[in-house]
Amino acid sequence: MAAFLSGIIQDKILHLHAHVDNPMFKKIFVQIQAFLTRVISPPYFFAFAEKCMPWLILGLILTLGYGLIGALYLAPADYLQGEGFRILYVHVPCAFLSLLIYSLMAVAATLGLVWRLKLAFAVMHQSAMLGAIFTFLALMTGSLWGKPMWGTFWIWDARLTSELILLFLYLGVIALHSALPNRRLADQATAVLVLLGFVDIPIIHYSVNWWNTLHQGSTIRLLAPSLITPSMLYPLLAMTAAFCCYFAITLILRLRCDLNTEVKV
Amino acid sequence: MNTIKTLLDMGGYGIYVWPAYILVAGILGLQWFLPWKHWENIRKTPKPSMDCFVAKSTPRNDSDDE
Repeated sequence: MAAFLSGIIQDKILHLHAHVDNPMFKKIFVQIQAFLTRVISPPYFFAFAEKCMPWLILGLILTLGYGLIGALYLAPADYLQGEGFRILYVHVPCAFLSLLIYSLMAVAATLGLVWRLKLAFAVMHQSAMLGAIFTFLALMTGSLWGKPMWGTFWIWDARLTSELILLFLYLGVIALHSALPNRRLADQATAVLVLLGFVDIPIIHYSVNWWNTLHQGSTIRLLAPSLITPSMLYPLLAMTAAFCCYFAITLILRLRCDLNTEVKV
Repeated sequence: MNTIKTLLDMGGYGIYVWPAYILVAGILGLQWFLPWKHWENIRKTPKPSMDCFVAKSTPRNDSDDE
């Protein structure tokens, strides 16, 4: 199975590179590759990450502090859901990050497959565990919110089911990467799986519009006024920013361990 | 005391709200701690010495060139 998958992936990669015969296309391709190799190289990245780390930690402390105070004290109780709505201050950031991390993994998978960037594969691989954890937490906190609001911990609703599929995708990515002994083959096979699974992301996002779901529709909108009062919205945005900072810090730590271990081996 | 009780009770929803926060804090705390601990172990581990490579090298014999 691994050999079969390897053959398909190698064929596709060679096919892609064989098409870079057009001089203009080749020039653009090489320039992008040179830029990415320079910017997304481990030394450049870790030097940049080292400078960013104190700011990320400061951002995490400030946003988490304000977010927690706002979520548990400042935000007024919801007129319909009462104090139970405060679960959303941890549920929404987890759900948001579960989608964001998979999208980041898809971008990293594309960069890794097309330009063969080692760091892109490392980002994809190390983000998978974090994404799985955020998806698991989104499902668990959603269940704890669903029991008092819907009367059940779980229902086969379109949003919940597609989110559960996302968790299985993350676990599949982790399992596939661990199963293949060759690191290069594991990276490429995982990248293909990530790109195939990306179809689930728009399904999760638009599931509340496409189907008549029990899960509520979008409350925060980018292109239209949000359906949530500012006193509730700002702590939610702060908690989301705090979770993003946390993800960035943990990802950098994991990447440092991963690449350092690899160098020593 | 009454304030803490009100905060913990959360209008009857405390039994759902607090487990959610504790679960998230616990798992994310552990998730941060493990790679941090791993990185600390890597930093503390001494780098392997390069002497073995030096010892294996053969000195150049200039007389062979002629």
